[in-house]
Parts: sequence; C-alpha cells; structure tokens
Amino acid sequence: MPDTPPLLEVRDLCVRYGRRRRAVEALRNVSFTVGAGERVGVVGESGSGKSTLALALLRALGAAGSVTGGAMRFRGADISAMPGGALRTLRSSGIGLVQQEPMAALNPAMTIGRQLREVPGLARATAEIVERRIQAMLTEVRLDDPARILAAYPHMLSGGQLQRVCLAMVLLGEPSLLILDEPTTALDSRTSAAIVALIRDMADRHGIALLLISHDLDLIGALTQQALVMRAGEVVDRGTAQEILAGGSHPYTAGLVRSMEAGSSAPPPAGRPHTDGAPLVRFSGIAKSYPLSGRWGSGAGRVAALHGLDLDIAPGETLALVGESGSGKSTLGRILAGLDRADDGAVVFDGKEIGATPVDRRPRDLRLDIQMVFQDPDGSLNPSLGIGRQLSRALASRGAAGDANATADLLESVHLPAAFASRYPRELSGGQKQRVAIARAFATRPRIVVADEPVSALDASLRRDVLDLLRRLQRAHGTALLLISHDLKLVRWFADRVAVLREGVIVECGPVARVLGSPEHAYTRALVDAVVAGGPAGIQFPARAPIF
Amino acid sequence: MLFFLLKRLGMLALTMLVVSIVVFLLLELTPGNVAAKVLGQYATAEQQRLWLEANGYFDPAFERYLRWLAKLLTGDLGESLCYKVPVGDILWPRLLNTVVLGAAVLAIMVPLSLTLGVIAGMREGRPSDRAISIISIVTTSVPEFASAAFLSALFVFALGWLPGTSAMSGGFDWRELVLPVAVLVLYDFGYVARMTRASMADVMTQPYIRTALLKGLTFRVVVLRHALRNALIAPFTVILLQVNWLLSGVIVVESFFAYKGFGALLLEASLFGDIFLIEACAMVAVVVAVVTQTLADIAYAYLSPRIRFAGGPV
Amino acid sequence: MTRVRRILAALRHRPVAAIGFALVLFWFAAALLAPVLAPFDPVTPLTPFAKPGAQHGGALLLLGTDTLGRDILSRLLFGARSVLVYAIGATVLAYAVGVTAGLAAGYYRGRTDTVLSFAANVVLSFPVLVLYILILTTIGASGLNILLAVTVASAPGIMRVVRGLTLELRARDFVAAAKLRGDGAAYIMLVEILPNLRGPLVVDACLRFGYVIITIGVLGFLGLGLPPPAPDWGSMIKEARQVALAFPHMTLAPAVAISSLVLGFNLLADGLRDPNGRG
Repeated sequence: MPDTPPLLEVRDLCVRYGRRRRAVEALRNVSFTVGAGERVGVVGESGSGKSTLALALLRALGAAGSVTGGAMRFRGADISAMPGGALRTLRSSGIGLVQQEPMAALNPAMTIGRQLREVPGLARATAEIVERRIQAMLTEVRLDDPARILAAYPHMLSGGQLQRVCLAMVLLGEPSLLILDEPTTALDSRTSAAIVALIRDMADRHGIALLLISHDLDLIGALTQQALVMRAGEVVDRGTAQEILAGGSHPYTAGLVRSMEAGSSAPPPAGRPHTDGAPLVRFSGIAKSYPLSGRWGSGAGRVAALHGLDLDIAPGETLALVGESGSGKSTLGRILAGLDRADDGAVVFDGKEIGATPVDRRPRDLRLDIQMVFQDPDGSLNPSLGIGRQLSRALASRGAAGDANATADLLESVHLPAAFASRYPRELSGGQKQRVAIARAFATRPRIVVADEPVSALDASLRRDVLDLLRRLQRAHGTALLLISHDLKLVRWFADRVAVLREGVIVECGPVARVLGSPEHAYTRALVDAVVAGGPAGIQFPARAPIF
Repeated sequence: MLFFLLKRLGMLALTMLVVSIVVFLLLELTPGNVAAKVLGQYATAEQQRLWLEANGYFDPAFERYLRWLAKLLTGDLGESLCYKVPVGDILWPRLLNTVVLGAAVLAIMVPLSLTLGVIAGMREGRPSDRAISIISIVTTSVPEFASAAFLSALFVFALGWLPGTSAMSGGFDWRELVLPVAVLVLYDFGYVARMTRASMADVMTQPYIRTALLKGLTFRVVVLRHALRNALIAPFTVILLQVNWLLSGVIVVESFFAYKGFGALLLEASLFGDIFLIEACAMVAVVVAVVTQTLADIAYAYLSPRIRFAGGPV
Repeated sequence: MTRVRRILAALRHRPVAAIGFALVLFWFAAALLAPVLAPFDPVTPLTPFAKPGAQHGGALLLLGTDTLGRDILSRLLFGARSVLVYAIGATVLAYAVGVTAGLAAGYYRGRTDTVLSFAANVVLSFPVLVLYILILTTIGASGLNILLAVTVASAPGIMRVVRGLTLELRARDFVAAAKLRGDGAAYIMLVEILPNLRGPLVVDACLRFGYVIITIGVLGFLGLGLPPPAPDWGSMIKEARQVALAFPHMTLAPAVAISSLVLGFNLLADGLRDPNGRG
C-alpha cells in the first residue's frame, strides 16, 4: 500500500551530542519502519545509541543532543518540524515511552493518582469518567487494590508495581506506538516475566505497535517479530527476530548470541565435589537484621535479612547462592568477609569461629584467606590510585614480591598487558576493571573468594570472558568460590552446587543439575519457570502473572 | 516527632551551656581590669578593690558562673557593666530593631533569589542561566562593608537620594533602612540563588520530568507542577540556615550605618568586655542558630516524602 | 609541567574562569612586587586629603591620599601582601585541622564522630562573626590571633565536608578490599580516602579562601584586624568612613581591591567546578 505511509518511518537519522570538537555521534544513518500493530526490537549493548533513538523519536534529547540529519515521520508527518501543539499531541496520544527505571520515572513528591489524572487525554472528560477509566486501566495492568495505589507515593510501591503504573500512564493516552526502553532491567526475574506477559497481552488487546529496546535477546525473542542490531550508533544487522536469535548475518550478532547462550552450552566438567570431609566454611544459625530509619532519625523497627541460615562450603568447590534482590544473599558474603556482623549464629572458617570478629580485628592471614570480587566495577577500584599500585599492595600483603615484574605477571594472568600498571581506573572499561578486581582478589592466595554478582554490571558480550577467567584462576589455585547471583543461567553453567535463598533462609541446596533440573521447593520452581518464561518465543506463558 | 524535638531541645540546652562556659572562660582570661573600665581610670586602687569585692569578683570563677547561671534560669540576665542598666532593658529593643532589618531583608531576598534561581536552573546552559550565575558570583564576592561603601558613594554622595547613616535619631524612617537592607540582600541573595539553580537544574534532568513532558504536558505545567516543589526543598532549608549568616552581616552593616541593632550592641559589648551583655547576646545567637537548624530539618522531612524510608539495606 | 599546561589549555575554553585566574594572578603579582611598584612608603604621611591625580613633590598620587596623608595606591599594594599572607596561612591551618578531624570522624564514626561533631556544631552554631569578635576581643587583635580565630571558625565547616565525603567513601568496595588485604586505619584514611577528596576540596578551598579574605577585611573594618599603622584594606575603609561622603575615593579604592580579589577566587572556583566548561 504505497498510499498510506507506515506508522513510523525513520530514514538516515543522525544524532549528535555536544558541540564542535567535543561532539559525539550517537546515531549514524539509522533507518527502519514500524507498521501499524507491528512489533520491532532494537538490540544493542550499553552505548550503542538505542536509548538515544527512543528520545530522538519524541524530540526529548535535551539541550545537549541534536538531530543532524535524516528524517523521522509519524503517520507521514515530519516529527522534527512539528510545532509545539502537534508535538504535545504526538507525545500524549501518538507515541508512548516506558522508561528504564520505573522508580525514577515517577515524581517522588506526587501521589500516583495525581500523576495519572494529569494525562492530557483525560482532560476533556468529567472527573467521574476519568476516575472510572483510571480504575479500569489499573485493573487491566493487573494492579490489585487501585484505591491504595492511587493514594500511594512512588516510594511506597515495589518496582514491578511502579512499572505497571508507568505502563498504565502511557496507555491512558491511547498511543498507537509504544516504545519500551529496557522495561525489565530494573526488575528481578520473576517480576520481569510477569511484565513481559503483560506487555504482550496489552499490545494484543489494544493493537498497539511496539518498539522494544533491549540488550536482552530473550526479551526480543519473546516480544517482537522484526529486530535491528545496533552497535556504536549504527544498525549493523536486521532481520526477523528468529533470524537474529539464530545468529543473524553479521559477526557481531553472532558474538552477541553466543555470549547470551553461555548458560545453555554444555555444562562444565564437574568440579571436585568435596562434600565429604570437613567443610572450609560452616554457617550455622546466621541471623541478621537492619534497622529501618524512621522519619525523625529514630528507629522504626527492623527489617530481617537473614534468620537462622545454615550452609557449608567445601574447600575448592563453587557454591552458588541464588535468590531475588532483598533476599539477603549479599549480606551473607559480607558476613563471611567480616565486613558485616551477624546478630546471631556462628561462622566457622577452617575450624575456627570468626563470625564475631570484624575484619579490622581479624589476624592478617585470616583476612587474606577470604577475598571478595564486588559487583560494581567502578566502586571496587580506587579511582585516585594507579592500577599497579593497587595490585602490588595486594601482592605484598602476603609477603610476596610486589615489584613491577610480579605485577606484570599478575596482570598477564587476567589477560591484561603489563602497561596497564601505570593506568588509572577511569582509563579502563568495565570489563577490564573487573579483571583487575579478580586479579587483586587472587593476589593474596586466598582459600575462598566471595564473588558478589561479579558480572551483572557488565555488558553481555563481556560476561563470558570474565567468568572464564574467574574459573581458570579458581581451578589453578584450588580456591573455593562463593558465587552470589540472581542469574540462574549463569549459575547452571558455572557452579558445582547451588543454594536457594528466600527471605533469609535456605529453602533448597544441592548439586546444580539436581536443584535446577528437578526443583523440589515451590519457590525454586517459580525461579526456574521465570527464566523459561522470559526465554525464546513459542514457550507457554503463564496465563496470569505470578504474584509478587 | 516528639522524640526528635526533645532531642533537639536537649541539644540546644547543652550547646548553650557549653557556649556560656566557653565565653565565661574566655573573658576570665582577659588581661584587662574590669573595675578600671567601670569606674574610669581615675579611680584609686582601693575604690577598685571595694567595687570588685562588692560585686563578688574575688569569689572563684566557677562560683560566679553558677551564680550567673542560676539567675539566668530565673530569667534575670544580670546588669550591663557598660550601660549600667539591666541587660534585658537594652537587649530586647535592640533585638527588635534587628528583627525589623532582618525581616525586610528576607522579604526581598527570598522571592528574588528563588525566582532567579528557578529561571536559571530551568534551562541550564542558556544565556539567561549564565548571566544569573555570573551576577550572583559577582555580588557574593563583594563584602558587605565594600558594597556599603559603593552604595553610599552612589546614592548618598553622587545622587544625594538617601541618608548616609541609619541611626533613626528622629524616629523610624524607612529611607534610613534602604541602604542597610540593600547591602545585605546584595551579599546574600547570590548564594541562595545559586543553590536554587543547582537544585532546579538537577531536578530538570530527572527522568520523572521527562515522563511529564512525554505525557504531552506543556513546559510551563511541568515546571510549575513537577519541578518546583522538588527543586525548592534544598533551597528552603538553605534559607533557614541563612538567618544565621544574616546575623554576621548585620554586625557589619549596623556598624557601618550606625543602626542601633543587636549586631552593633554585640560589638560594643565585646569591645568593652561587658560580660553579662556578651553572655546574653551569645545565648540569643545560639538560640537563633539551633532553632533555625531545627526548623530546617523539620521542613526538610515534611517536604520530602522519601526521607522517611531512606536508609537501610536493599 | 604538563599539568600547568593542561590548566592553561582548559582556561582558554572558559573565559569566566580565565578572568578569575587573571584577577588572582594580578593581586599575587602586586603583593610580590609591592616594594618595587609602590611609589611611596605605605605608612609615611604626605599631603592629607589629596584627591586622586594630585601631585606630591613631582610624583603622581594616582589614587590620592587618606586622612593622614598616606598614599592610597602604596597602601593597597602592601595591603595585598598582608591579606594574602594571612589568608593563605589561615586557610592552610584550617585545612590541616579540619581534614584530620573530618577523616577521623567519618572513618571511625561512633564515639569519635559524636564528640568531634558536637564540638563542630557548637562552633558552627555561632554566627561566624560573633565567634571572631568574641575570640579577638578576648585574646587581642594581632596577626597570629587572626590566624587562630580563622582556624577555629573555619575548621568545623571543613570537617563537615570531609566527614560527609569520608562517610560515603568508606562504604565503597575499594575500602573493603583494602581491609581484606590487611591494611590498617591510618593507611586507608591517608592513601585510599584522602586522594579522592582532592577534587571537592580544591573547589571548597577556592571558595573558602575568598571567604577568609572577606573575613580578614571585615575584622579590619570592625577594628579587630592588624594593629595600625599596618596597611590593611578593611581598616582603610574603617578609617575613611567618617569622611567618606566628602572623599569617597578613600573607601572606594580598598573596596574595589578586596572585591576584585575575592571575585577572582570565586570565578576560579566556578570554573573548576563545572567540568563541562560551559560559558
């Protein structure tokens, strides 16, 4: 139908941030179309320009960004040339955008109700009709108890609830195109599976076209028909979602798919299950709670992180601790390292009770025996000190030579050139920083390393290399590893045993293949199902979202 | 809330106690002779000794301090050595004059600085933003005594529009208030304006502002309804704390324009070593500081719904 | 060397900061070269009440003389010396005390923090100037006492800034990593935390330095500055205030001097703070 223009047409779009010499090309010659009711995915890692694309389509780049070439047409109308009124109409009832962080996307000082009622499309209706429409919409996005939601401030709701509110807000304007910018990255796996199901359901019911922006190939597969792959501001590959998931036609796509599939490749040769003999670490009856700070700085009760947790870790084994955010899994790692203290219970390391001694008062050798790899690569290295200095200090702590040669060897063990010793953390990429952090942890020849979400802050294509490295060092030194993660795919591929943590207690523990293959506990089953549900299209979705 | 207020009240009492002891000790170390100051330099040594004895100066320092403290608790501030009248008689009228001055300054400075700060922060990086930022840097760089000199030279010497002193000897005259107020506003507004600008600029980059714009609301509505309230939380507390700063500026301005206020009184009392008057002034200063700080904290907690739930692990 | 060049290159793109830098440089040069540049001795009386541009013994009185007949230009130049010397000394001393206390309070927390923070709050609950007046009227006005008064009054503010930053930094993972490799409190505070305070503290120091200059001026103005006849900008305004309506040049010259010096530091701080160099 050459007469009717497509819903959205983007041709040779170029976007630039900054001015003159400091300008950065964020998008280069991006072209694609979205037809009415069509679902298109945009895949790319951080920095690929995919979020910029969403903002450019709504002319919301801010003062720093500008469109320097190409055209964007919505139902044939040039978006760049729209006057103020037409632009507002486009935003309110043409294209709706759901942003990445639902908590940040809502005004913290206004109730949900006020924020929903001010949607411009509702302005012409009477208060009663508005109220009814909002109630209906909240029910539609499966928020129970609309009255409570409407009266709440954003901080009183969970991430999943907030994302539903954002979706409802956008849908109230009845857009014909819905842009979703990483709609599930801020959510845990079960919640995001529910949101994915909801999005699909809503798009079906209202016949809305989707433009889904994500780094997550599973999500793209679950929700879209067509997909583009973006890298450094350019579209490098395109095709149907199936083609892209199968590796596409560009080597970059193939690499991306491979790194995502880390979990489904053949399991590693089984580690040595040291389940017999004395454990290296034994947690017994660990309890920990944190004070909730009240409005006036006084205590307003406590929130329990762990209560009465028991767990053993054998020498040299890889034990994965899984659970959703807030389940207390990071706390356990910090208690072992002495960075946090349990309220109750014992931590026995190598036959000695250490749980009551904070790290500052532990003997030096004990400190060096337990090392950590942290989640955030930016926080884990001191930004003001050179890499070499930070590593040599760790080497010297065990009495080893901390000279330039030893540092170079250490860097080499994590596949980094010796010249990195003179660099500062800001000159390194996230993956490189995390390698340095791993090198630092193993430099003291520890007997156990606690790795707290070691790759979750990294781009998918880097994760596998970093994990391979971690495993190689661990094997080489016979170090035990406590891997804290929410990512079941990674755990399945990486760990010997897995312990499932829920609300402060271990609900299930055993070899990975057994626990994740045929889970006994209902919660473990729900976790495993959530991963499958978020997986490639064609797999059955639960009819209703699980309660969270 | 009650617990918080009680804690603050305790803090206030403790601070006042520590401050009064420190002031007392400082004055105890003063090399000058109190009796010589009070009786004049022609008094004989015997007269001085008798005066000191009559006023209990030969008692140990802590005893004299406790006596003063006991009288303070009954509301008696003691007698001024310099003016030879009860401290209250001279302190309260002077304080009232300063409250008039301070109220006039705040009434002009608050709307001015908030408006400029919001305009600047609303569209960060625009010429209007740069202009407002630079103006506020320039005005905060000119100390009160320097701008008093500039404004006097212009409005009193060159143009002859305003009186050069503000002693109010012929009763209250608003024209005598203009220059002192102008000097204080000029020095203080820039700081609040810059705070407001920073806060506003920060809020304008928040995703929820984008959400509001992408709903299709107009920029005006977004600024007024979504940005303003969040952006004014920080400046509001700064303004309350500014009251404390104002007290410093007031000393300079009152001294420059011979305005009979609390600041000038404090300076005179200090130069004379008038112990009970100094103690009373210091107590007033501490009460003002702690009360404004407390109000700022309460206001902050009420304005920001998030703070109740801040803290704790995630 | 490269760092100097980098700063100069950065200033080229920030005209506002460059103006600030020029003002600061101007007054530092004036202070250094005062004995060479000043046409007269700053404390010798010449012709009282001379207007700017008058002559004295064939030499030009560019800015006129004061009530005692001393050359105002020469007093300004020598005054730059004393104000900069005392401002630098007081700032350095205040930072030594404030940073040490702030690191200790922020790192150790607990009782150390309670005691130090209470002491700081007591000092901060005075209006600053009241504190100066109380200290200086009791211990007497002199150069050393000005240093002490400024230190006592500024250190708590610096301590608060450092404490806040330290509280945030000590929770970072690199501090945990340092503890795990066996480093003690002193090493962590000085090597791991202190270098990270550099950026915020440089900006803070620029602003605070400007404020210290104002304070020294105010003290001079209130008669609590350097004892006469030392050339002091604040005292110059105080001495000329009575005759300012007839001879405004006597107050205007030192007022311009102190304002431009403070402005220089504030503009510089603004330029250093804004990493994007807008403007």
